Amino acid sequence: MSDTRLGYDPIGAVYASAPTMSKPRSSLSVALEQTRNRLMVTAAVVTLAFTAIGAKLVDATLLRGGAEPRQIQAAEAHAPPVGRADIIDRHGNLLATSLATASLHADPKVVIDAKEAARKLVSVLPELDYKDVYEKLSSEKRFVWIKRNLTPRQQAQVHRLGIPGLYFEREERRFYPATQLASHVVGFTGVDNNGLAGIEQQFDKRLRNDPTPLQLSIDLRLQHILKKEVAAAVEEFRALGAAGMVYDVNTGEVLAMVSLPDFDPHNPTDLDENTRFNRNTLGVYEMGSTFKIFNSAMALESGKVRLHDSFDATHSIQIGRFTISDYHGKNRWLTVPEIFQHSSNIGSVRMALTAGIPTQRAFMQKMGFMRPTPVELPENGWPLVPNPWREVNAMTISFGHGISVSPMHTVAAAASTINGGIMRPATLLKREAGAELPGERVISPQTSEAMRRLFRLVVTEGTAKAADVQGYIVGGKTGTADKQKGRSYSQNARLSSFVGAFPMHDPKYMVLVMVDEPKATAKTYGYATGGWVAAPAVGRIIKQIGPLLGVQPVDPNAPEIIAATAINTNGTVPVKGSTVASVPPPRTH
Amino acid sequence: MKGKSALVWLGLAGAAGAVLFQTSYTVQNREEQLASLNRKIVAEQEAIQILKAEWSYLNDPSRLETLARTHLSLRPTDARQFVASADLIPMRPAPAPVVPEIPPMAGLSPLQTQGGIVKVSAPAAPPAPPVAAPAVMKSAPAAPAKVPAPPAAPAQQAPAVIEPAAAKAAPKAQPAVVKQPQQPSPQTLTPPKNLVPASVKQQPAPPKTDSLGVMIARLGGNR
Repeated sequence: MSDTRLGYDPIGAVYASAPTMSKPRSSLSVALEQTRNRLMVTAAVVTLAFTAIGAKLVDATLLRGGAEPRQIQAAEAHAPPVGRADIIDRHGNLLATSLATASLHADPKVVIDAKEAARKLVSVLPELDYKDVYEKLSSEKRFVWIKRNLTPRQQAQVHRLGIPGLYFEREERRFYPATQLASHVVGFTGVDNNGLAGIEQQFDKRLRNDPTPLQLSIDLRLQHILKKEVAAAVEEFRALGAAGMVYDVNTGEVLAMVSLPDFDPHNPTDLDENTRFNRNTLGVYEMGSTFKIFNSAMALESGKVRLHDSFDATHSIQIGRFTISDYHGKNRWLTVPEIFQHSSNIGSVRMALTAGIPTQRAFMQKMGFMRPTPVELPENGWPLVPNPWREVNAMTISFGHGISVSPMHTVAAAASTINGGIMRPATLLKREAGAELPGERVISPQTSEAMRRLFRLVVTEGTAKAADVQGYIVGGKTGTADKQKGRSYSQNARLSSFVGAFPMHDPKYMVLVMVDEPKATAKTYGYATGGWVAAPAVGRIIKQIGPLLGVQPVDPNAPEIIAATAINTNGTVPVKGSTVASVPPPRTH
Repeated sequence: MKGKSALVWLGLAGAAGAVLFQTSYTVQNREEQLASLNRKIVAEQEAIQILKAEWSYLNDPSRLETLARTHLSLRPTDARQFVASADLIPMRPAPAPVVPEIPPMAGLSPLQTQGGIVKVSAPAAPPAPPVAAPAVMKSAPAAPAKVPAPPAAPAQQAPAVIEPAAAKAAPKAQPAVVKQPQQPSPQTLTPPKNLVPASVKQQPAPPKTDSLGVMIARLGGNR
């Protein structure tokens, strides 16, 4: 059977070649074998070639070897299409977002007619300069930017020109929908989307790597109200600038932070450095009488001073080249509430000295005045603290001079004196509801309760009557600090501030307004003190933000409210109603 | 025999190859569809991102405040407009007794009603827009609901309508639909639009067309 197939199957012949050997070799059979062999070789080569082609074909078509990697996954429906995460406020409103835009660049080597191309480009992008574009397009480089961040319409127009050598590159551009409203908090980014200030800089890595939005504690509505009122105060008193904050005293969240003058985060570079300066965190100031909050808390907490103790404020105090006196001196002995109410410097000094200098220094350290605040901003100023802490320093610090802290320090520390005595680290990030709040006790609940009453006294009977708002039991402390000009203090350049909190029977929020160098107006009878400048602004702010924050208005004359917030000037707590006589118009130091 | 089986195998291999190629091309088609869908999704996401930014831009509080002042008669809420609980809100009086109540009231107390009700209410609650005044006048005999209101209200029951506490309740009771025709104060019926100060009206209207383009122009315009 194999024999019959021999002549037909060259491959079979190879295996079957042994039997053929027995036959006598003829020239014909030799020629046949030769032909067969040649055919075999040819067939093998052809087979090999076709196999290779087939294999390559299968590879190219079925296996798609060498082609671009196949997309086997659907795009994620909710993933943001841009690289840098959004920044949102506590209610989810956008503060910063990234948008994809197209940027136009060119390869001048490929551009055929630079003159024509430049003329066409300028016709659709009129803001470009013809000469500039022409020079770029006729240069020897292989890459020049023509214009960054085109609008979709501009991109379409340039595309339609059909100029060879022009290319678009997809880029991202940071956009701040609230523009100037929160510029000091949010900060800004550079051309290549790296954070250069504010939250953008502080959380640069986080914003690059984690696409989920970063939620701040800021409330855009409060921010708007705060800015409106602070700006109104700046305008009314022709001030250099101002700072304002709304702060949650129980959680340490900053709900609004405004520093004026401010800037447009889309265009931050060609501006005055002054506009980018965050007065709330980077600026450190001698806060003036608002420091009497800490002085009183320190004295009461030390146990050496009680609420009904009296101090001699009859004469001014002479120490070194300083004379410490009161603006509206009562020239008599004053109780602790009276010292707070009338903002007596002499009384404050005596209280501080009674408590003791080491006690004072330790307390100021506990209040966080020796280091920058924990708030998450790169613009965070170091306080200026005297070293060594001498007696004269202790005396001036008792009424807020000789130590410079930022308004953020002041607010966070003042909040700890009225929230029950717990110092919460200030934060710009929203705290999760129900999460455990960090914090440490700095004063006892009893001292804190006394401080609440003192706060309220300043508004009902003291220097800040203008801050009162019907329904929201406001309390606070005014401050007017003379600014240092050269080696001495100026009489006309001041920082007028007010730290207010509400509602005082259960403090929830704190508002600070600080105005830099206000000029007195006829309406304020020539005064530009904290009671005249900052306190009314705080009152207007509380009036507007109270309903937004859901604070229940109460009747200020209700007996339980009076019992919870009032204090007599002799240091006793009234059971019902206040018997304190009214005091002269606000003039405080 | 062997040739036949070889043929069968060859046919099978060919068929398998054909099916394989067919499948392969189907997969390629699907992949192209997927790629195009993915491109569309990304484009939509970018559009959504832009719209979100635009939404926030248009919701800028200062812009909303201007718009609200221009087009609405609403004002920011005030502390005195809050009540401690819903039970304290006075019920709307039954319509039947209300109608005859008016003329005798006007006659009985000429002093209080001489200038029309609006005039009386004006000193009581100056910041409140006069829009709602007439409706409240009648509907609020139970004013003590108000938190900061003087507690002495219940003394005068029927004419108590004109006392300050009642007037203060005005914005709360605004939607009350007591019939108005008997009211002698036509000016209260005028729409609140004329209350808008002229200066507010003259403020530049926000850009109406191509707000998206305007917004992105902001992005590109400065660099």
